Amino acid sequence: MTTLTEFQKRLEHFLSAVTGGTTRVLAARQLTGGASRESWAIDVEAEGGPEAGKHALVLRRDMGGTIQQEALSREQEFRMLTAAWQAGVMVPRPRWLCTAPAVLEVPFFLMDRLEGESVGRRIVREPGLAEARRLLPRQMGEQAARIHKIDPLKAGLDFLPAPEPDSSPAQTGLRRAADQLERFGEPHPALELALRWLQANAPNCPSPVLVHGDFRIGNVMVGPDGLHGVFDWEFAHIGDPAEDLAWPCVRSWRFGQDALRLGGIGRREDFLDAYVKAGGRSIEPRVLDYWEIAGNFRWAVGCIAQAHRHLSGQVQSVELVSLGRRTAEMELELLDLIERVLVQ
Amino acid sequence: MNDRPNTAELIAAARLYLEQELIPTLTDARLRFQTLVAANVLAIAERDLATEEAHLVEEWRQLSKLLNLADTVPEQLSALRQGVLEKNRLLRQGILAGDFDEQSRFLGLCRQLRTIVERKLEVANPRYLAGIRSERAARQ
Repeated sequence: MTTLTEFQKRLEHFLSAVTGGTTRVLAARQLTGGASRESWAIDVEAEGGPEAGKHALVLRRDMGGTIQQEALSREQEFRMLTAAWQAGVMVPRPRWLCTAPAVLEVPFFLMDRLEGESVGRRIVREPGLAEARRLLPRQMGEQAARIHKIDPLKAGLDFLPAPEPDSSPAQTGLRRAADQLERFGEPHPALELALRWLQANAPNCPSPVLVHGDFRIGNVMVGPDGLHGVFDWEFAHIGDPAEDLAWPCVRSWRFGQDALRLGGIGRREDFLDAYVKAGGRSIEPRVLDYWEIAGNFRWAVGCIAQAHRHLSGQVQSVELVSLGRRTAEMELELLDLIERVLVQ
Repeated sequence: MNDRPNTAELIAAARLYLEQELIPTLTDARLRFQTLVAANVLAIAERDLATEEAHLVEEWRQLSKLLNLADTVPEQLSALRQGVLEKNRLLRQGILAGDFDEQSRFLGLCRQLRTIVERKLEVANPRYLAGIRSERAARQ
């Protein structure tokens, strides 16, 4: 399918079937694109039927390119989103999943569109979001606690990646990142040194939980009243809850407001207090510090991976290739953080 | 030899065009962002050209010392690049084999690597590096 009108026509046909009323696509605008998945903002209107009226939606679909390691398929992401919605987590309401190739050729799903700001650089800086920044640490803590309470088996999420048998979530995550690093065939002594420390100090986690896997500023929708929703669930997996609590503290995810350890918007303590008050586990600072270091390692490898997607010819993107020169930021952070732990 | 403008001057001219003439006209947020990235990429390339040889020489000397090698710095840039890459490979092997696991050796290597990584950041993002250095100084 090549044209926008063809896309619209097929979507209207599908939506008319699922809404039970003739549905028109009023507008369609691409939000993000990539080699493996796309997001579109779609405005529709259903005439008659139980869904009569206007709907502001987001369409997420696979592009058929190389799926990133460990990322959920669109169908799995839809099921994950549904489980989160049913568990009372603040997420975009999932609406319809389509796996029939006759519609848009690839699996896709539709969810309600959240209003607000999601760009990290803006969330940490906009004067109009000052009150939101004050509220966010507590709100994020509460949502993290709800996410970690979801029972993956009861919710039918047996497809979620899980730690290898006889291996902690930390060790499993490290092995995957280390394998990825090795495949690039480039030496990165700072990363290799960090890897030795991470392997030697990996904490155990006797009761892993469902973790979001990319919980941070950048993956939350924010309005003047604070949190509107948590999105981008494609890295959800079974793991150490500390991973989700430390990842939003990784320096890169402070978007230049580095003094505010939680995502450039607030204090880690407020986030953790709210997490525990909402029923989350109390986590030792040592374990959180570990996972922040592990997060920097993961993102460093992620930067190299993104650069390689361009360098290998898989995509054409000056933005992705430039990430290869940002790896050094994570390398410096790793050396600093590990040294500080060792000389404590 | 090629005539002027030299490589650095070519890149600077392209970068200045983007920054001063094109970017101010762009209203589409995504296009503007991508073009800013492109201009920044050119700035990195300029800094890289200006410092590559000197930085490689320093890295060569540091890595030779770490690896206990007594070799002389090559004159040719291509040999210098290849040589530093090979030393990094050797260092990587040593690290993964556990040669630096003992705490004082680990910390020693940490500090050496910090110098090398900061050199990379002087090229890739000098403003970011300056911010990290101020933060570090404030912590003392």
